[in-house]
Amino acid sequence: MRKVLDEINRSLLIALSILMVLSALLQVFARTIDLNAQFTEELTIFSMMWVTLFGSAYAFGIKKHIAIDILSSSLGAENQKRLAVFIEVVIILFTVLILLIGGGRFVWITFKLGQVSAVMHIPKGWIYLALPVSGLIILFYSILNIIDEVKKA
Amino acid sequence: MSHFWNSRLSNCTQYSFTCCGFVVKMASVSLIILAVFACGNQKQVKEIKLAHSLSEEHAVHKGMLDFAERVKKKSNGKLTIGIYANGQLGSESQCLELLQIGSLGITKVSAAVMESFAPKYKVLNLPYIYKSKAHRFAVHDGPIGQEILNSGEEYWLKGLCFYDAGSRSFYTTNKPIYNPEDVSGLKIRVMKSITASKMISEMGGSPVPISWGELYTALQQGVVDGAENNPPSFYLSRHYEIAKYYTLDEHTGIPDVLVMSTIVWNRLSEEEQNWVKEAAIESAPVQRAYWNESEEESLKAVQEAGVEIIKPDISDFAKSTNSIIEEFKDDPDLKRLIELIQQTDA
Repeated sequence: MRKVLDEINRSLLIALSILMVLSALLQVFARTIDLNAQFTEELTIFSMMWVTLFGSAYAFGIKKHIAIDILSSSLGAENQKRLAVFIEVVIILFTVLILLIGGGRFVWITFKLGQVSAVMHIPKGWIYLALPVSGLIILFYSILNIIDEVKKA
Repeated sequence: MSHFWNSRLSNCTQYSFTCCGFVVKMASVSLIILAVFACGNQKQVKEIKLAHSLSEEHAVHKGMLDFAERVKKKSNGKLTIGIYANGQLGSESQCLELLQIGSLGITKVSAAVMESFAPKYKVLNLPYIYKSKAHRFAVHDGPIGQEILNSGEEYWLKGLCFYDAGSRSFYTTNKPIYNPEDVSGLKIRVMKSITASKMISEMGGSPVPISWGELYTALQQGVVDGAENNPPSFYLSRHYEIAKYYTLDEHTGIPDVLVMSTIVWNRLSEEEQNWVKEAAIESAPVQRAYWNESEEESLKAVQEAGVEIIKPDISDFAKSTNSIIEEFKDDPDLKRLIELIQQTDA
């Protein structure tokens, strides 16, 4: 389960990073060879937003986020486990409140009011959809992490 | 209010001095807390936040100060407007999103930004849609302006009034522009907008989208041959240090709009709504006077700095971009508005 999700996430991230670099490059070239490529600016920004959000979701999955482990390293094995579960619960709370509920509401409003991007005219809701979707992935990873933690004993 | 607070506070201190028991102390503390909350509830002053991205020296900011002053006066200080300048609360489109979720009360944005939120604003931003300055004001103040301001309500963005942002003209570094043919072959920086880049293409130039903050270096290094903006922006951005030709072709007259969140608007009583609406409408002519002043000052200042001001035949420029207006007439709604604007008397 985790492996499949990791794989999907990784390929998506690689594709988005390539897209981001290419569109940034194209913009630089377009300036010198007189080509009007206005869409590149938006494309770069939007792909960066997706890379950031999905990248952070991926980092939750492989547990590579920055952590200060003074507390956890001074605890015994049992307490360490409790702390790890507690941390995941805090992450879940944040994800549900901010990314899923807050982000979801924001996406809903943006779709409902039909805001479009200035150049490419894509509905902005699609771009902001990265918030609740990455939230779902983080939520999924957190639950998996808790299960792993409990099983470890 | 202050009397109420003082009496509560002195009562509490008295208690804790006379009987020194722990319980009484706790009770006095909770009384103080209660007093604070009671004060909070009785608070009569309501503040609406207004955020925008201009500096505090800007003529439009002065217009908004006048607006805030008027709201305060009308409500006898019961309703105030807190102004957050310099983009403290986000860029123009971010502020509009804050309005839509109800986190911010009022914002000032360019009508160009409003295009992506409420499509009717597009007609105000077309090149040479206005015949003259007087015509522009007649359109903004008239029923068309009102219809466009109201059209935002559907998108939870209530337009309060238009502020003048002058008209935009070309400035170039090496090659002066005397007629539309001179634009051909030049790289001109444009805003992030389809209409703006179409206009340059129609004249034969190549539009280059570059962010406003990077433009100074872009002009200096020759990434673009020129750009376009109104006189105060040309002056305040110091682009005149590099661009020595300013052609007053006045191609667009994109106004600024004072927009209010319908969520915050509906929270106000009818009386309060009237204060806000009246104050906004009354502040518009004051802002125009500020703008005129700053436009004259800017033109004088850039001339003193050695910029050549060119006054071309505007009708030639208008002809070269006529096809853009025709293109927008494909949309029946916009067509009706464009025709109404063209019929408006100055």
